[in-house]
Amino acid sequence: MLDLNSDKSIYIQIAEIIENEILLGNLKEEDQAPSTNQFAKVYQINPATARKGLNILVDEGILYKKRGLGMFVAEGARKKIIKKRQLSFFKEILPEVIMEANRLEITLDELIDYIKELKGGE
Amino acid sequence: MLEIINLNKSYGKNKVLTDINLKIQENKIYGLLGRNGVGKTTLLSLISNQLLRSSGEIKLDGEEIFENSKAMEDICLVKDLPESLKERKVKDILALAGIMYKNWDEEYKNYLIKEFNLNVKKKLMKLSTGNKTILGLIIGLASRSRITIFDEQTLGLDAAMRYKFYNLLLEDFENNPRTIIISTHLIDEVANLFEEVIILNDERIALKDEVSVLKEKSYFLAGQEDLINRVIKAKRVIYKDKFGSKSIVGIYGDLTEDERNYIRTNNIEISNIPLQKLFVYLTENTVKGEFSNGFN
Amino acid sequence: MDSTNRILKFHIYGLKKTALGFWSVMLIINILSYVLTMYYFPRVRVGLFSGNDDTISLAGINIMPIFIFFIVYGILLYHEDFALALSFGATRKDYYKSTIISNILVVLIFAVIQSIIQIVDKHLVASLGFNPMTEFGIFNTSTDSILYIILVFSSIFLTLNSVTNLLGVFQYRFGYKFWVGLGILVLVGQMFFGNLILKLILGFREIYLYLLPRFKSSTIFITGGFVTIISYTLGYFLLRKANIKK
Repeated sequence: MLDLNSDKSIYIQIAEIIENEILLGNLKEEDQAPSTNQFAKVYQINPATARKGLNILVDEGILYKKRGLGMFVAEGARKKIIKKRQLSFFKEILPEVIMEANRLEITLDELIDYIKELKGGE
Repeated sequence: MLEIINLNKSYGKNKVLTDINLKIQENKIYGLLGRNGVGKTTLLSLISNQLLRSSGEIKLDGEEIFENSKAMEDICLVKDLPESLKERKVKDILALAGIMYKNWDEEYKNYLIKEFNLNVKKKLMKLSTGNKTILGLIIGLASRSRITIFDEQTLGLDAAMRYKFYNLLLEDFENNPRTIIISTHLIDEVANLFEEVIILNDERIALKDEVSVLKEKSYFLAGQEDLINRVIKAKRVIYKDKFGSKSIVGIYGDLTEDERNYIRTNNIEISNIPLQKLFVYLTENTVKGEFSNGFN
Repeated sequence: MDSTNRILKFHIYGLKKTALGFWSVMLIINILSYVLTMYYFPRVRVGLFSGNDDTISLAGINIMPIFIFFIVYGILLYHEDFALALSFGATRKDYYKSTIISNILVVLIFAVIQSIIQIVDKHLVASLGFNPMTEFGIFNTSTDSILYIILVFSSIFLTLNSVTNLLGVFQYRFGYKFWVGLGILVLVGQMFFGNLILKLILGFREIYLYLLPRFKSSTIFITGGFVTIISYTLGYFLLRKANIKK
């Protein structure tokens, strides 16, 4: 769902909504993504904003344009999304966790132990 | 494309607009924001030549629009109708609008009248405030003018009516794209309708930017004062305050990778500025002294 | 030109009804006065009577209402129509051009109607057994062709319209202050030049009488045309600087 009041830009949220749909399997390869006008109508936003979000996915190879028809889910989109989000996890989310851990004087071993517990001892 | 070049407007000794420069592109929805009385209506009245400018140029496709019949055919300004019309019937006013606007869509007008349930047989003065506004909205939408401007057209409308208008607007924009400029003070509702937003403050344009990037360009920074001062040196500061031992600033602009690293390593808290607050800060009256390095 | 056409349609939109309404009322009044005169003269006296009561014109009374029509029409146009036309994107130039054109149209139509009525009047009054008034100073319904009478009426009405048009522009731009200023001007004039209005009217009369032997029947057209052109020109210069009113 779109949160108009969120800190995150709307066009980024739109890209994420599509990505989530792909991850969940609701949008499969070669399926047509919702159009900018559909987004505009449903969420009452400017179609250009929606277009910006969709274009990000096109640039990343997650969607591709079929002239005159719209945007479609590209081959291997799911894999690309997972890879992208893994990267973001390691580059953005994890460093924050480590920094906070350092601030709270949690040692590396304590951290590893907790992670092991949460992950179920893999 | 509509170009406004060095536009100035004074009422006698009272300067309202100073050196306004704007480029308005085709088929975009623009928002014009600003405090009450800052000059939004003045600017829009100048663009539609209802008000005479003090100096400056306004060009459409390269041609000056003043007293230019061809250019004026493409511009429609919707604002409150003149008082002198109160005895006229709504259907007559709509008929006159239909005569004057060259792209007028009569069928669409009839559709809108039904949508809004407007009684066209009534005289203008017998309409409720909301219906007077709706009349203006219908004229603006049905005009299909290349440049359609809505000046504060929300008076008397409840939220349901406003959202109905936004829906109709987006729907028509999808099928019949045109340049739309909406001036309003209801920022929260409409910010997402706009592709670009223009903020008028202190006689000038305080900001003109894509709405989608506004959130990415506005930050609160909180931390030690001298640390923060180093980051904000060349930045546009729009807010400054103290909270305990912390200094809090609001800035508008891009942050480089280096600046982000600096912020992270020096434990400076960084968060987004909510749109509503952003607009409040940008439409504050000129702040002398502390923030003057942030404005033009 | 496309936009001038549009504004002309704009001007004419309500005019048809107004003009129709005006003449409907006028015709009823005219017919009523014939009937009254037929049955109730001399107890009821309607119409124009010459000095010694020997000639009558019943249709001649229309002139006053027509004058009032043009006064109201000229001034009201700016009060309502100009502001609306401006808010619908008209240029001042186009507005003024089509004002003049619609002025001319209205003037011609009114002139034709009134001329016909005057001539019919001559016959009807005669058939009632009275002496019809035919000499009206600037035209004569017996000796002048109907075309000439139409032209004379057109000239008078257009001159009047051009002046009321100018007043309308003054009123729009300066509001009530214009009338106050005018009143003060008249009062001051009265004080210093004594009976200024009378002197002005006599002065115009002098100019007219001076020109009369030189231009004879064309005099009315020349003086009228002169005033018309000056009034419309002045009006345009004033309108160019007009802003929209609330």
